[in-house]
Amino acid sequence: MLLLLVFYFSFWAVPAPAQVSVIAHPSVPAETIRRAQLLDLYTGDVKLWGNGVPVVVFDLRPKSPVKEQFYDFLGKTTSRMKSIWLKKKLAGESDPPEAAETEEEMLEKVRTTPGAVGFVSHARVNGSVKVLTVIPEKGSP
Amino acid sequence: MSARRALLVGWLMLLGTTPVFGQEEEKPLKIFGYFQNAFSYENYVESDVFSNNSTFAAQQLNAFFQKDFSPHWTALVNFEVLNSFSTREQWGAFGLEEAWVKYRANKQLQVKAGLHVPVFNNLNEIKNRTPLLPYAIRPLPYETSFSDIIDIEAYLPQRAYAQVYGYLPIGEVKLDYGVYLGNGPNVRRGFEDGQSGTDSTTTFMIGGRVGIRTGDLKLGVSHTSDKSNFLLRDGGRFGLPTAMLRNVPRARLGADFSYYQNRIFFEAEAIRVYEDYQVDMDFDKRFAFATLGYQVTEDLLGYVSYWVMQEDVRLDAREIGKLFVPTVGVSYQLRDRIMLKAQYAYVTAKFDVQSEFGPASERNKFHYFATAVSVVF
Repeated sequence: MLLLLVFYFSFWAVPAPAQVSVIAHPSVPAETIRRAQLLDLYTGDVKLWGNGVPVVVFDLRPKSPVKEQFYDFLGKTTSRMKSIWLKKKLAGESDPPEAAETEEEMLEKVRTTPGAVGFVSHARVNGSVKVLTVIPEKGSP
Repeated sequence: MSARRALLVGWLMLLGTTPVFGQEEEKPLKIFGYFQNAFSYENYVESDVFSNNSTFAAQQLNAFFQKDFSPHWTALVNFEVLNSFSTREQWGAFGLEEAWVKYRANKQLQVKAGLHVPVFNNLNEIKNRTPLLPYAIRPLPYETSFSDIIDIEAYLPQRAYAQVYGYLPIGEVKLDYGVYLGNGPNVRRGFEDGQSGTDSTTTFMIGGRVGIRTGDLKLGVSHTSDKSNFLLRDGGRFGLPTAMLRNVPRARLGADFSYYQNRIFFEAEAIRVYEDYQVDMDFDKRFAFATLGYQVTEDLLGYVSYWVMQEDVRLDAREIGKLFVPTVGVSYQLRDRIMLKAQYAYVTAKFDVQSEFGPASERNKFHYFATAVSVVF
């Protein structure tokens, strides 16, 4: 009977949606993050963590579903984000995020940079970074 | 004098690149900037005065020197070059646009001290950041390269010397504020009365903006207050006592609104300038614009915009000048640092005069085409 149940559920199970994890350097003094707080970090409105460590945000250079999903979550198009970053740069407020070429590079940069925040596919996350939130795939409940 | 001062400030900034103070938090000097070159063509369909013309121009070049002393302290110097500046040909302009130091306590409180462009409506602070704007020709009071044909300084505060600003988060809403202090409008233009570039009165310009941001909606109201002596010297001409022309209160009022939703954006502003003469004179000014844009692709943006400007001059005669400018344009982000722009406008300029000799009017209508390339370096 048990085998039958396992077979039944495995048959109907759909592949897990591709999720995106918002990751941070282990020293970051936060365990979770809300969308509005994340947007404040990525737009440069908030520049320091509560412990005084500067916030360092990373972006992915190439277009990818992960990048699209992340900025969808923030409620901004990538062109709008670029415009916001350029505005901050030319106002002397803050620099645009440093861009990683690959998710592996992003993971490595976040792991080694105090105050860093980034995003990668949830499947790539390991114990070397802190997961602040997991963004479900678009359209999933 | 201003060129010498600019060179001195630039030299001091470069001196700051050497690790004289050995601060660990200091970051290297950042040097960056942008320029915009344009080609424009005016095709007159109605005018007794003007004729068709076309021209290339290096509209604007800005060079920035920024030094972050710590996460709380930043200094920035911004040199601006306008209209194909040339000392040899004696045209265009070169100036020190900004030289400030900023202390950022937190997001609620920041203080800027030194020469800077104050916040007024949505565009004033960024009007000269051409790579941020899709326009080849900006809405008129913001088009710095037109400063010799439009009194842009009357419409907008161009410079302030101390500003306190920040935002207060209230749930998902951010309450923006900014308050600043600058010179009154009575700045000496020449050497005949003393040092040029200094305020010849003891009055100040006081201004500010309050607004809210929530999501991609942003709106606010702005205000400046100062006192002008523009007509003091000519008072005798109008047979008026000079006391009535001294320290005349002037107020600028502004309102701004902008909204982004997915691929669509809308922005609108209104500016009203009052000069409060105690006699029957009027120099009020009005400007408004609204732009509806659509992000066709990540790199291509199209927009339609409408600008209206009105200037009243009522002394012994009454003259009303009006400009109506429907315009349409596109911008294309060729690379992250290169933006191409094209814009078409149909300009109608009307001047109506009512005097003791009877009414008179003048009309100028023309098509205006402009293309531009804006480059960040």
